[in-house]
Amino acid sequence: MAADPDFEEFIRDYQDMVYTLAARLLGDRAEAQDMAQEAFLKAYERFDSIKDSPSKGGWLKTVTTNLCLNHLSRHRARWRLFSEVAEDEAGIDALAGPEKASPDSQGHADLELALAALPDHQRVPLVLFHFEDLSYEEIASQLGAPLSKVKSDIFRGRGVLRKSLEAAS
Amino acid sequence: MNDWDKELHSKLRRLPSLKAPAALLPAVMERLEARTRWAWWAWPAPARAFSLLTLAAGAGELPVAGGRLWARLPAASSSVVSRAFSALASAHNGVSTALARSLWEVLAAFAQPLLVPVLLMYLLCAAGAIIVWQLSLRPRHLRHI
Repeated sequence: MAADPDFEEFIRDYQDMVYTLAARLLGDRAEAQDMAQEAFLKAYERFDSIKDSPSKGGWLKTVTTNLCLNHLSRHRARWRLFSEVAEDEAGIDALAGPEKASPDSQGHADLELALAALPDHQRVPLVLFHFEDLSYEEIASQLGAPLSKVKSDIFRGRGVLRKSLEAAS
Repeated sequence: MNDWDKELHSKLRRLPSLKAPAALLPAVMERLEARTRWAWWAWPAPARAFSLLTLAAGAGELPVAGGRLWARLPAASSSVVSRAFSALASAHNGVSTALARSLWEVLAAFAQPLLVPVLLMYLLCAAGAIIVWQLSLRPRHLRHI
């Protein structure tokens, strides 16, 4: 049962998508791998009903997003609390990250590193907005944060990314 | 969004997907296999038979308990439901009593001496779990509640 070839094929088809989303939301590749595993285990429980669905990719993205948000709130800190505590340190951390990790990298790698270096409260809404096409209102609802805070976090996140990219180029 | 934001948006959208680690697929399959190993249908046959018997005995107690409860209600004691419960209860009573007695005779010989240590271990585990939850797992801002 566990060695279902259809399910293996399903994982092969979607593993990059799930892993990419988790890595960008969490900013940590090891944690992203754990969350990707959890997402596929959940998918296995409902595989009979989703395997023929044209929206299985969207379902998997939603599950992955929810798992990552739960992980962030459970294992790192509660969303709002973390956001408030981290607010003052955001700029410094985000600028320092990419240069330390990869001083010579360009283009895509620079952007990925700059994104990963953003603090959680800026990176998560920014990823949901730019990659997952969620509106500000949907993001605020999903994160349980005020709309104004989501907008300002995304705005600040973009500013930090801009500075990072300018510093890298 | 201003021009720079739009440019950033298009740069972000053009980012290629990351490559999932090669270990991801085997790790998922291994966890599924481990889960299957512990599934009920993978238990040894005697364990499955014992669990079924225990379940049946437990489920059988429900109509008996229901019948007793119903019979205690004065207005309902002569109703059709009460008579049905009573019939079901008396039929089941004989079977479940015999089953429980034979199970107890088999188990009592080696289970009775273990009862106190098992109970103590259970209480210790519960206390340990509460301490771990309070100290490390519970979100910090809820710990005072």
